[in-house]
Amino acid sequence: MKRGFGGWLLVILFGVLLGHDVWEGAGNVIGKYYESLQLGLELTWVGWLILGTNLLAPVVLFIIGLVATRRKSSGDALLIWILAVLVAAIAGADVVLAGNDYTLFYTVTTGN
Amino acid sequence: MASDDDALTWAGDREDRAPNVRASSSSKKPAAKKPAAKKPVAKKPAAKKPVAKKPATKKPAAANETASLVHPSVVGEKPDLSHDDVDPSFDELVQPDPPAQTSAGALVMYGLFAGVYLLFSVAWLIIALNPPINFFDVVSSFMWVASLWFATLGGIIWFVSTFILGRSRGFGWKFMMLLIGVVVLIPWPYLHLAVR
Repeated sequence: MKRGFGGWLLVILFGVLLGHDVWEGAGNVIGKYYESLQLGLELTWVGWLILGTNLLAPVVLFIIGLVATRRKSSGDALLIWILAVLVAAIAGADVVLAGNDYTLFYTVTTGN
Repeated sequence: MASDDDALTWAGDREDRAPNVRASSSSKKPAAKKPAAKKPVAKKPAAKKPVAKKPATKKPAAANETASLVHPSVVGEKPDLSHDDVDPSFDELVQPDPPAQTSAGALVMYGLFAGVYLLFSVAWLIIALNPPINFFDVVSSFMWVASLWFATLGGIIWFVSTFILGRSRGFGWKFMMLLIGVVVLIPWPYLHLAVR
C-alpha cells in the first residue's frame, strides 16, 4: 500500500467518522430488538435488512475507501472518503427516519 | 603545405619584412598575395571531405554530435515534421492535450442527472429544515443534524466528485457513477412522507 502520512491521516479521520456510524448502527439494532421484545412484536425481514445495512454499510464503505484510495492523490482520496461518509450518513438518516414507521420494522397485526 | 611555406620564406625573412610591411604600401603587395597564393592550398581540405568523414565513422559520439547539428534532410534521414516544423498555436501552448469533446447526448444525460440530483437535494433540504426526530444527546444531535445537511449537499458533492475523479475516464464510467449516486441518494424519508 503506497500511502503517505496524509493518506493515513485521512484513513484515521474518516475511520473515526465511519466508526461512529457503526456504533450508531449497533445501537439501532440493539434498540429495535429490545423495542420489539417490549412491544411483543417480531421484526420483519425488511426491518432486519434496514438495520443490517445500517450496521454493515460503514464497514463495507471503510474497506472500499481503503482499497479505492490506495494509489490516489491526497485530493482524490479526500473526495473518496467524503463520498464514503456521505453514503453512510444517508443510510443512517434513512434508518433513523424510517424508525418512526412501525409497519416497516414490525409485523403489526390488526384485530383480535 | 610545409614545403610551400619553406619555398616562400627564407632565413631572417620575418624579422626584416615585418617593419617593411608597416612602412611602405608597396611591400604590402606580397603580403596580400600570400593568401591568394595559398588559395589552392586551402582548397585541398575541401576536396578531401570524404577523407574527413573517416574519423567521424571511427568516433560514433562525434558523429552523433555532428548529426544533431546537421539538418536531417542533409544527412538523408526523413525529417520529423510532427512538431519541429509546425509552430504550436496559443491554445496548444496553454493546453497541450485538449480534452475530448463531450457529445451532445452525453451533455443531455449529465443535465438530466444534474436535475435529478437537484431535486434530491431539495427533498433532503425539506427534511433537514424540519427533522422529524431530535436527539437529546449533544454528540448524537450534532451528528444527526450534520448528516442531514450532508445529505442535502450530497447531490452536489456526488455530481462534482464524479467529474473530478473521472476526469481521465470515459462517459460509461461517469454514467455508472451518476446512476449509483441516484440509487444511493434517493431521499426515502421524504418519499415516505410524500406518499403518506
